[in-house]
Amino acid sequence: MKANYFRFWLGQVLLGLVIGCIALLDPFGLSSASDAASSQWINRITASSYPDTGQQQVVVVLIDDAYLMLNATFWPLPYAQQSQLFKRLLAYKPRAVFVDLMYSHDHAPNDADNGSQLLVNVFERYREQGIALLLANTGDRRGVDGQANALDSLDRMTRRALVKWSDVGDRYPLAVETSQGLLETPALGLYREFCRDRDCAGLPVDAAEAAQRPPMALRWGTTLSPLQARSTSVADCSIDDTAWYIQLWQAIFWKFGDSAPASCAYTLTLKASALEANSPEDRALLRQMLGDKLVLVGAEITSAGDLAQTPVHGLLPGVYLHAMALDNLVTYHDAYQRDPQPYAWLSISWLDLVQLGFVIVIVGLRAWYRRRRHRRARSWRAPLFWWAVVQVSLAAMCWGLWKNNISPANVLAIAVLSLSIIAEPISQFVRRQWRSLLRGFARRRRVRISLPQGTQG
Amino acid sequence: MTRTTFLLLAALCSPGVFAATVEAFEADPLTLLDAHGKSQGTLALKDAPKLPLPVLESNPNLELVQVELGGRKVWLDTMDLRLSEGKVVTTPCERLSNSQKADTRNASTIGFGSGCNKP
Repeated sequence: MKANYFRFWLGQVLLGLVIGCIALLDPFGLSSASDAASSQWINRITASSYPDTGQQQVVVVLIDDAYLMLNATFWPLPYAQQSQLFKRLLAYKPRAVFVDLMYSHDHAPNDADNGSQLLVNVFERYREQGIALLLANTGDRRGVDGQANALDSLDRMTRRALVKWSDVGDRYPLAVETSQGLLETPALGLYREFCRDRDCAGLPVDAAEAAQRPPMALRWGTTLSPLQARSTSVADCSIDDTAWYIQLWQAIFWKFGDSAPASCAYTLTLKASALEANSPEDRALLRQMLGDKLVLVGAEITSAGDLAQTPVHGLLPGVYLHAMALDNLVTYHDAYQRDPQPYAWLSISWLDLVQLGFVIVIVGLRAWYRRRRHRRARSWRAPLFWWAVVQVSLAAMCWGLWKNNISPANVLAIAVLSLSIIAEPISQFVRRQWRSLLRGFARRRRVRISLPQGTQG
Repeated sequence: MTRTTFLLLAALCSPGVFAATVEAFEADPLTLLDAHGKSQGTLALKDAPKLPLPVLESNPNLELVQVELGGRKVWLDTMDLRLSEGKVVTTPCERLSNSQKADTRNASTIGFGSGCNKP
């Protein structure tokens, strides 16, 4: 008897260790896959309640295929046309502009009428008017080992904004050490401009301090700005699908619907062709949309390749990633959502330990009820109660993390694992009910068969 | 008669007759530019000459016009001006496009639309 008891609990402890190792060591990326799924669906469910504080400050100007066709031009845009675009934007006096275009090769060298000097001239005007201009920079040394980066003439005229980094997964860093030194990312660069005449809590003093801060776990929004419908048609945007319950429904039953739905980007977007408008009404609208705003200029050109995977919208042009990071900074300041810091050299944080605690409790409860099934009344109510306690604790943890701007826990994996507490008692219960049903059916049948025999007798 | 008609037509078609004028300045200060759009300084609106101001030359490629300010020929950005001529462009009601589905793949790189026409 004692040997059986020992064997049983040894088995349960080993099972707990295996599940714990899967949770912490992440073999085959199992844990990170469910972690990413949890994060994605929590992001989608909460996206409709994302505050619009940042949306009122951030605008994306998008150069797209329609713009190229309208102007009978090609990609990359000739410098003359780019200078037109940027000088039009300059007329509306934005607070700061980030150009998410990589000028790594001069397309018309030594050509005074069509060369990159035309763009340099316009960028110089931004500087003269005190409008910060940030230019995409890879952080690599141009020309060294065939690496590409912004042209020197344009680099001198603008502030560098790092658009290439690694080792942070899908998080968005504030600043990164590169071969050109510490560089800030576009979101932080523009946020500094936003804070120029405002009191922004916890703004990093310099790039070195920013590099010490944890990267951002972005929160995404879905509700479009009221100004959006005034500048573009939103007929194709699925506005009604953004409610949390619809997102939850889609999350659970994605197999029966669209597994990867698309939607319109959250950030207020202006098509580049709209800048060509010169009627007084349109210019007044553009002044309202762009004046004193943080503007990001990007492109969505077929096959140009700058697309970013987002948890809420599917694939979006990369400029929206910077726009959403900036939106998060404007909305939450230094209290943006982040992963908890890991302990020293172990890449394990306190949240991992809390999740491990959940795993231990679940495995323990499962073992407890498996062991008790032979001795006590075979009730399914007690396991169900403890399963509900685990769910409530999980929900409370999620709420606590959300309130404290900590990235979501691996809710899905824990919720699925917790089913093992009730799986055995419920299957026992169903089996018993099924047997008693069959027995009752057989008894009634016997009675029915025996009745005519009695009458005859 | 023919000569008179010809001279009249020539006069009517000359730039001096049909040239656009600057009707209003919409920026203060005005940025003075060279022919390539490089800044040459600024001019406060209070120091600007009286309007309308004749346009001497235009560069549609860079959207600049040349005018004479205080005896000096300079280029101005059309965004800083209201001209007597030029078509009125309104915002095209373009559709805000949806994002692409998460599983969209496009395994191509942008190239030229036509061949290089080389042997």
